[in-house]
Amino acid sequence: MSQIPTDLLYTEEHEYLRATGDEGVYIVGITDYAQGELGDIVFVELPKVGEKFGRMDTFGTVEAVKAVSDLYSPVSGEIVAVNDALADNPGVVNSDPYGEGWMIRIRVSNPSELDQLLGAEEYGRHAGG
Amino acid sequence: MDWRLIVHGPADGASNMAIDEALFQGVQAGGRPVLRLYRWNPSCLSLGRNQPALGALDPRTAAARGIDIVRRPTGGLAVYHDRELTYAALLPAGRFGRPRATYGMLHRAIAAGMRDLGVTADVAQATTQRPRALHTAALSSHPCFDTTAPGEVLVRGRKLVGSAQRCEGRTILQHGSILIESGQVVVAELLNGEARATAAIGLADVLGRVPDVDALQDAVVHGFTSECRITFERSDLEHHEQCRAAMLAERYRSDAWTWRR
Repeated sequence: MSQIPTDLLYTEEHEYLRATGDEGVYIVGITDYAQGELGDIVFVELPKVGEKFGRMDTFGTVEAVKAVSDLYSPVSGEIVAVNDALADNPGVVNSDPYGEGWMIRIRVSNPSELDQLLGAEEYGRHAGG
Repeated sequence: MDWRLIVHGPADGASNMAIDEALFQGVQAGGRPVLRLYRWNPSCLSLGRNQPALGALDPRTAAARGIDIVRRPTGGLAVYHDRELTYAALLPAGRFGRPRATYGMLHRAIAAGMRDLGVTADVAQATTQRPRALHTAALSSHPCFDTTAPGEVLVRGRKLVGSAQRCEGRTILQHGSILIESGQVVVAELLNGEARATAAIGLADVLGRVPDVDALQDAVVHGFTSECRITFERSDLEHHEQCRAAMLAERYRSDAWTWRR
C-alpha cells in the first residue's frame, strides 16, 4: 500500500508539494505510488537554480528500468534549490520519496494555483483507481 | 479506431529517432496510435537518453568501423543496430494500462508474432515486485542485451528483443530491436574495447536461416493484431511529419545531444 501523507498536496501526475518554513517556497518530488510504479530509478534529470516554469511545464525527467518519464511542475514558479544528491544516489527517490528523495524547491509565483492541487484523500482515490 | 501502420526501409540513426519523435508528437496532439517498422543503414550504436558516453565511447573507433552513433529519446542502455527489424509503438498511456503493463503487452504481441515464424518465444515473468535495475551503478556503459527484466521477450532464456520507453504526458513511445542476427558483441567492443559474449539471440540463430524481412514484418503485425486486438491502416508520413522529422534530425545529429553526458 502506497504512503500518502495527509499534510501534502498532490497532482494527478503523481508529484507532491510540501510547504517549507520559507513562505512561498515548496518542496516537490514524486509520490510513493509513482516510485513503486516506476521501479528502480537510475537517473534523475533536474533543472538549474533560477529556471522558471509554468504550471504543468516539464521541469525534468526520471529514468527507471528502460523508461524515461517527464516530471511536471505542480505550480508556476522559480527553482530555488535542486537536490544534487540524486546525481550520485537516484535510488533514494525509491527508498525515501518524501524525505531525502525530494527533487526541487520552487518559489510559487501564483499561489492561487495551489487550490488546483489534490488533497491526500482525493489523490488516494486517483492513485488507487 | 485503426492504428496507423508505417513500414519504412533502412535509414540512418538520427533520421530514425527523429521520425519516432515526430510521430510521438503527433499522437500527443491527439493523432491515432502508430506502429512503425524500420531498419538501419548505416549500422548504428544507439545510447539510452541518460547513458554516460563521455569517456566511455570513442567516436573515432566507431567511425573507423563505419558505425554511426545516436542517442535515443528513450531510456535504457546501448544497442547495436544492424541485422534487425525495429518496431516503434506510439500510443496513449492507459491504452494497455500503465507504462510497465504496456511494456509487457507490446512484448507479448511480438512474442505472439514470433510464434508465427515457428519461434518459441516467451515473455519473462512479470512480478508484483518493483522492477530492479540490474546494475549496481545507477546507469552504466553496458549493453542493453546484457540484462533481462520482467516483461522481456526471451528465446531459450536469451533476449531476442531489446526495448525502451519514453513517457511524456499521456503518451508513450516504446521502440525496440527484434534481432535477426545478434551482433551485440559490437557494443562491448566499442564501450569496453573487448569482445564479450552477450545474452542476446537472433532469429537466424534460432531458425538456422535468416528470415525473410517481409515475413518478419507480417508476423509482427499479426502478433499485434491478435494479441492487442487492434486493426491497422497502412499509412506513411504526412508532409508536416516529414518536415518535423527533418528538423528533429538536426538535434539527433548534434554533438550537444549525442555527447550530453
